[in-house]
Amino acid sequence: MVHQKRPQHVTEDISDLALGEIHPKAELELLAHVAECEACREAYSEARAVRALIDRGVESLVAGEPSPQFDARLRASIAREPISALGYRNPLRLWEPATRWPLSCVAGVMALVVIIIFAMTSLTRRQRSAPLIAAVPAASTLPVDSGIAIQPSTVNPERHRTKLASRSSRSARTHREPEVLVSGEELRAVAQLYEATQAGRVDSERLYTSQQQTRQLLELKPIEITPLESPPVVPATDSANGPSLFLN
Amino acid sequence: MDVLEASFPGHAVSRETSLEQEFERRLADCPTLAYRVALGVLRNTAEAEDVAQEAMLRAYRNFHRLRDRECFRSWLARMAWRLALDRIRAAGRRERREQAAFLDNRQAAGVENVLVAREFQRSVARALDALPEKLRLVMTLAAIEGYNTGEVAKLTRLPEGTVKSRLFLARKKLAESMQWFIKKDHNT
Repeated sequence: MVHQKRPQHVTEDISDLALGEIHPKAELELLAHVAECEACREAYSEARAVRALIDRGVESLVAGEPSPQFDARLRASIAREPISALGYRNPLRLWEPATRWPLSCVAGVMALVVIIIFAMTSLTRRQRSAPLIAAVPAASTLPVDSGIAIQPSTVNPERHRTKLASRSSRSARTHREPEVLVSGEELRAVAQLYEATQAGRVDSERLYTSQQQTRQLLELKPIEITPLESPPVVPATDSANGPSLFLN
Repeated sequence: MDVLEASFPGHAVSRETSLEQEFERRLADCPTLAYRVALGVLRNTAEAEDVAQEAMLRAYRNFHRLRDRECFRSWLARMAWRLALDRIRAAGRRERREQAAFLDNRQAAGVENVLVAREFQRSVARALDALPEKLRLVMTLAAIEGYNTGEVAKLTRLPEGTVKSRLFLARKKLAESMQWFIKKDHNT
């Protein structure tokens, strides 16, 4: 059987057969046909040649052996590796590309922690060395009944009180001695008194004694309560109507 | 004496060596696989060696994480494939690769006409590069494994039927791409 002009589908089937993908049943039929048909046999052998050419071409792209130095270089690279296949780390080779980043990160974090601790310590020290008595704006610290005018504030009083409480508790943690807040006038008076005492214009002994005396004078004593004497009640009489309804 | 013993004369061999010996054994089963896979992508011997070395080093570093040791060959092949593709993508070395293909071919051509062989190899390389990646991988691995579809199926961890079908499609596309060359070759 000879095809004068090969039909398209037969050519495609033959090409597919040569390239290796066809249904097993169709493959048997096609092979039987190829054995009988000279034109199809020729097409089949052509397709097989194309396949061989392609395969050889691709093979030539991947053919070859690595150079003799390749093995030696691989050994050297493995020797440089800090981590073995078992995950073992050579402590002498810690500063390798594989471990460099984690180590750098750890060192950075540690440096940051040290800086923060140092900054906090120096701040605490500075706060301790600060004067315990300081002039502060009267409006923000003095109690309402101190006689000093307080500026009206837009701050929520409840929140302000909480803030002050937290601040005072924080300061109590940081300072061992109590903080004294005084107004500017009081501070000036204290300064003048201190100056006068230092200059000898005021006898501090005498001042102290007088203060003690004042305290003694102001000593509290129990209050004695004496019962009040009530005046005698005179019965009201009405001569016209007889004796009063109110009797003793 | 294996590579690891030579590399770690003091402490490596004295440790538990079973894993390292196994790595050595697995590597000995496929000494040129990584290199040839890389060569199939890069077509430059020096670069292929670099990539193969990198792939083997990665395999060495992570061998303890590989649960199924039977998959070592496919694991290594895939690693070499990806590294080679990364290298190509990173540097756009197509021109250099074509020049290198010419040089390699001139050495291997032997009695064949150097010009024809060069032209043929260039056209094959171009056609192979134009293939989709999954077809290109199967075709390259098939060429490395002597067109043994069973081995390619193991390497790619695909069913053998899928490998056959992809191989067929790859060949068909290559034949279409190289039609002009094949016709010319037949005429001459």
